Amino acid sequence: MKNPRRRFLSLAGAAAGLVAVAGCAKDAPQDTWQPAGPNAEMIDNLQRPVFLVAGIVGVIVFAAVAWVVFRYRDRGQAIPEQTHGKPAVEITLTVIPVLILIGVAIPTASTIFDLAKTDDTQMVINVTGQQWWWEYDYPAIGDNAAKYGLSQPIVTSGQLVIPENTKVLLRVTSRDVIHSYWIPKLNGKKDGVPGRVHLLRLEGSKPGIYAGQCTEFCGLSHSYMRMETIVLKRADFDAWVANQLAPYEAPAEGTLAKEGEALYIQQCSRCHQVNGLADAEGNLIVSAPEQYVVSGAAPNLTNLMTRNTFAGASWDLLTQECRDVVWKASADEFGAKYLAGVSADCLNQKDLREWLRNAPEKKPMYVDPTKLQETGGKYRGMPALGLTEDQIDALVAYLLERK
Amino acid sequence: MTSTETHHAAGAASSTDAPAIATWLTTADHKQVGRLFIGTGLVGLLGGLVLAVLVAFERIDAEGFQLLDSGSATQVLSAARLLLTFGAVAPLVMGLAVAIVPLQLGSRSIAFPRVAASGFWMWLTGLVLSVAAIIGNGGPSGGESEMVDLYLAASVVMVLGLALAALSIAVTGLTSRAPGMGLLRAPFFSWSSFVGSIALLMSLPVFIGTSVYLYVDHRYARAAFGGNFGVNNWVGWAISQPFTYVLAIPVLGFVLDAIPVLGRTRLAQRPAANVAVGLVSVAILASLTHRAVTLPWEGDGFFSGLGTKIADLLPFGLVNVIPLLGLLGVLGLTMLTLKSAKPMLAAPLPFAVLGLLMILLGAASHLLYTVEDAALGGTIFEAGSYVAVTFGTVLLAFGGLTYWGPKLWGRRIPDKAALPLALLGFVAAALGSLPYMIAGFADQPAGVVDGFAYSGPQELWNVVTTGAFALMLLVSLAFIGLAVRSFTAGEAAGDDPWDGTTLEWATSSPPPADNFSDLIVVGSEYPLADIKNSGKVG
Amino acid sequence: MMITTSSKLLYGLGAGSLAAGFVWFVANEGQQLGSVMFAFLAVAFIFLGAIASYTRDGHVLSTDTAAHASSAASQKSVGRSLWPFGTAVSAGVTVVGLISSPGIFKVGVALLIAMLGEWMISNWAERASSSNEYNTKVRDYLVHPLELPVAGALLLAVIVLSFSRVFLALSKSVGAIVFAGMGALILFFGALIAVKRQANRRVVGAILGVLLLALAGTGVATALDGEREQLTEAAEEDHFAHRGCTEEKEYSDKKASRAVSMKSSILANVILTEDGQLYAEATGYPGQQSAITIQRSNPSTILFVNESSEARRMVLSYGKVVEDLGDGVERESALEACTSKVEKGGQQAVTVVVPKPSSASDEPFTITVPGVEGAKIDVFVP
Repeated sequence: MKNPRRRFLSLAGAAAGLVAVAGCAKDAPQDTWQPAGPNAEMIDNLQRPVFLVAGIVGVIVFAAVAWVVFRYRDRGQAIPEQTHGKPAVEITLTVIPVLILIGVAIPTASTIFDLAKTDDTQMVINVTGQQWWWEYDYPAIGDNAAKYGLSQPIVTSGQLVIPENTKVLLRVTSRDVIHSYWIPKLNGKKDGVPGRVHLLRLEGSKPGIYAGQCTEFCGLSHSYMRMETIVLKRADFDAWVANQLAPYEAPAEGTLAKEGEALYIQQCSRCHQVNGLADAEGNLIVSAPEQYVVSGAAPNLTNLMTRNTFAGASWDLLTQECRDVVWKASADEFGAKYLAGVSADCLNQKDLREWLRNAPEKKPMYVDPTKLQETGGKYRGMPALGLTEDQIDALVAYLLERK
Repeated sequence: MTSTETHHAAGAASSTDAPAIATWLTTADHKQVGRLFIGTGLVGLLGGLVLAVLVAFERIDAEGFQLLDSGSATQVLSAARLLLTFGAVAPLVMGLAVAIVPLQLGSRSIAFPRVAASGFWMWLTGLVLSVAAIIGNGGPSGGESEMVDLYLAASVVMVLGLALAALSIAVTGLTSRAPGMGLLRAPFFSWSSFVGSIALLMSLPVFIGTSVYLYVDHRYARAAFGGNFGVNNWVGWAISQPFTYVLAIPVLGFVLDAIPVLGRTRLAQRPAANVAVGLVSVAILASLTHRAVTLPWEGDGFFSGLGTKIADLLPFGLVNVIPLLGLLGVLGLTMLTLKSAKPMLAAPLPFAVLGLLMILLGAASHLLYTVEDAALGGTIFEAGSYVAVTFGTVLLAFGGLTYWGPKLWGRRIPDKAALPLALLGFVAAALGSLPYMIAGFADQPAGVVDGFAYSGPQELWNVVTTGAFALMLLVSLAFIGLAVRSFTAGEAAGDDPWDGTTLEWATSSPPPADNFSDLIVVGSEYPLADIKNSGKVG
Repeated sequence: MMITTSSKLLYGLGAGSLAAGFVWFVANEGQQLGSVMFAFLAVAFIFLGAIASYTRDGHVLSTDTAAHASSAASQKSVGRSLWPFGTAVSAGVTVVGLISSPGIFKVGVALLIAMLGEWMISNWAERASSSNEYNTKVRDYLVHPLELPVAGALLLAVIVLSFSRVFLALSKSVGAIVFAGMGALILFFGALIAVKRQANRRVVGAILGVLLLALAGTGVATALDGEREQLTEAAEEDHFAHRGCTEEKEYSDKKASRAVSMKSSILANVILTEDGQLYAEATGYPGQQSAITIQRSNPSTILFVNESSEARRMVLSYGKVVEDLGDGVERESALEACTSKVEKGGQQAVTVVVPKPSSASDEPFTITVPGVEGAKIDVFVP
């Protein structure tokens, strides 16, 4: 292909084709065209006709442009008479779009109001964004406590677990910069703004995992700030809650995990909370992330191995095989597969060990200790701890028991 | 500013489009600076006279009627003297000198023109702040501590400004004379301004230093100088005799310049006049010792202790008698000159003669005051001689304005209108000073306004002086009104209204920015007369 | 000839001073102070006399025509200059500062140095060459890098200071109106200038100058008048540093209602009813709550609404903090945040960041109202 113009055209064509083909992915986890809950369905019901209308208009406009370009291309003919102003055409071409837009606006506004309703809430969950992960806490008050067995608050991260067909209201906010919470299959986006509480309805009508990612650029590792929402049947949800609230079980004496606990207390508990963990004298250990991290928070690791992901839901705790089992499980089987958590066999040792070895290498987090003046010595993420391989073994063993 | 430097009138071209206020603020033209001094000096004169009338009025009834409370009366008294000496006499005299001396010397500029300009603004800043301090109860013996501090510090700035102007005049006299004009050929106003400026340069720093001491003492310790009540003890010399003679020295030159010209004759014994003016400057010796050199006469014991007597007489004569001799010399030469004169009836003449007489009266009476046996110390006699010298100097300054005003503004004051003012001014000066002298003999105390008592018709003397001060105020108002009207809308004067003999009359009226277009080479004491005789100038 | 006319005068005065000093010394039987004074005077006179002798009175002979053009008398005057006036004014400022405040004094000294420096530099530049244009350029080249930034900074400082003084003196409501009015004026004039492009620079400059003067004048006036009552009284009671959460009423409680921050949304409304009941309305929760949850380490705003008949304040207690003061000494202080005393029907917000979970504290986190028995809301911080 020596003709550069031809070459360009074919390249452009190939690129356009690839983009188009990308839309054909089956079961894409963040597909906005596959609603899995009433809120997303409302949006879907709106966007399909709007897209249809927009598509028709687009086809007409592009076809008209193409026809004009072709029909009146420069063939050396004389320039036609130049005129200005044709009120009939102008008015028509103004009125038609106005009518179309009004037609689109009415259902849009109605849907927006429907999506903003909060008076039918059944469960409230606080969602807090920070660089670069989402924290979920389940308040132990109101209906949460009365109807869903939340005798104590649950604090978790990465994966939001909600019961099936339950109108959940997320109270979205942020601890540092603006983030945005978005599970495409369940609802639209909602920004998490520091100092403000924004409300987002979430309801899943089918058990399963629904992925999403932060959609407001929030710094270096914005692309590693992911989240998943897990929809469980009510019984499974109750089991999940019971497990989350179960008392802390210390590792058996003499095990590698016990060594890991000591190491955890020494290295990790400054920022990461494990509920019920106590020191040698029996004093409960309360983490102090407010002293070390800019956002003042770090993920709660009490039940790390009940969730399938870590580090802002960017990496799986499950090996690919085990992950597929969960992800591809049918709606009826899903709950059991998910609640199985991460077993020793299924643990994705590679990513977890890499993370413990040198977290900032895996996920950029501005943790160069020599450049912390402007944050007053605080980190924006997890620093490299300089652990030996033996220590990592012990920690992994300890973490494996956090179920 | 040595003669090898080349100056350029930077911005002179742009002076026309600058707003008027800016030209006044930024001027370095000695004529303009001189006019600023004179104008503000006239305003200060009115202020000082108003206060003087107030104080005098207050003195009429020592017991009963009171306009001012006793504390503020003392301060008003100080304010009146401050305004009359440093707010009126000093700027009027310095202003005339700054404006006229370079013209007389055939110079295109004053030496250090910007220093002279800065001197004016400093003087004005200091004066305004001083007056503000006095109003805020901070003058000598003031009650507001911070205002006393302000008064002391501000008076330093004020006097520093005067010293800077004096520096300009002295250096001009010494260096900026036309070629061929030795100092002995310089006009007398220039000579006396030179002598007076030197005397001021020698004495004003003492005032500054003393004020700084007083400031430090008053602000921090009040240990050494008596705090607010010590102010007048230490710097009061600057507002009393014989320092007042020093301020009068330049305008003695006006007498010596104007009388021969107006009398259509030449001054007899020129070198003697130079010496006489120089002798007056010896007054600073007495100023700096501040009346310490008094004479214990001790009546009949004169011949019994001749050695002691000489020891007393010598310093007394040196510091007190010599200045008086100088003044007498000036008067004598004036009289000698007038004998051969065919004087024209011009207003400056009576101002010159009567003003000189008043100064002499003041100086002579002050000599008496320093004789201990006269027992006048601490009496209001001192105020009498102060009024005589000060009002005399003001009359001379008025005379100088009528004489040189036509040069500075190009218009003249009508003689018929000014002559009566000279006479009335003399009457006011005489009636303002003599009764105080008489009251002094009758032991009316100085420095107090209320609550004194002595034998004799005290009310009479005080009523007379009050009236005299009021008359002086009216004369000053009339003169200022007359001057303003005449100099803005009066009869055009021409370049040489008095048929003068010195160089200031050789240039146009008012003179151009650089005074003279061509340098005039001088061959005698009367360069303009030489030029006229040679037929170059009509 | 060494003895010139003026040196005769000066030597004569010097000799007179010496004689006076001597006579003084003899006559006053060794009282030295006066003699020393005369001696100094004599030295000064003789020194001046020597200068006069040395310069021969600055005399230029009429026959020495070569020297005429360079004689002092033939030199034209220097041009106009602002610095002599500026120096005098600076001296005045210094003097005023000397007795009033060190700040003004320092400004005066700085001004004095600046004015004298400018004076010296312009005098130097005026002699740099025979071309005025070149001399001006030389001066500007040297001084503008210093002058312009300083002048700009001063201008800004004047504007900013005047603005702040004005608004510290105005009451809050009037301040808002004035601010809006000034903004409108600026917009109006800006638009006017933008529209009338050929507007005379001088006119625009004059208007701006007058506005600046007016602003500065108002600033000075309001600065002298002092800040508005609330600010001064609150400063006296040191309420910018500390605010007590007691039942007593303090100055900062005066007119404290309606002080809700516009920047944050409300995490929860805490309402005290007429009959002394306390309940919360938390965003996202239906109905009245007796407990709220606050996210840890997250700035959260709680609005207190007082519907009772008394002025009340809301206090949020969230544990305590223990400081290690060294030497084994520890100081324990309660962590509290509170509103001012809110009048009946008023409301006020408080923003708080709770660093620790409530489970880490021995005592429960609560919202209470001092003086109202039983008014309590549980606060959970997960």
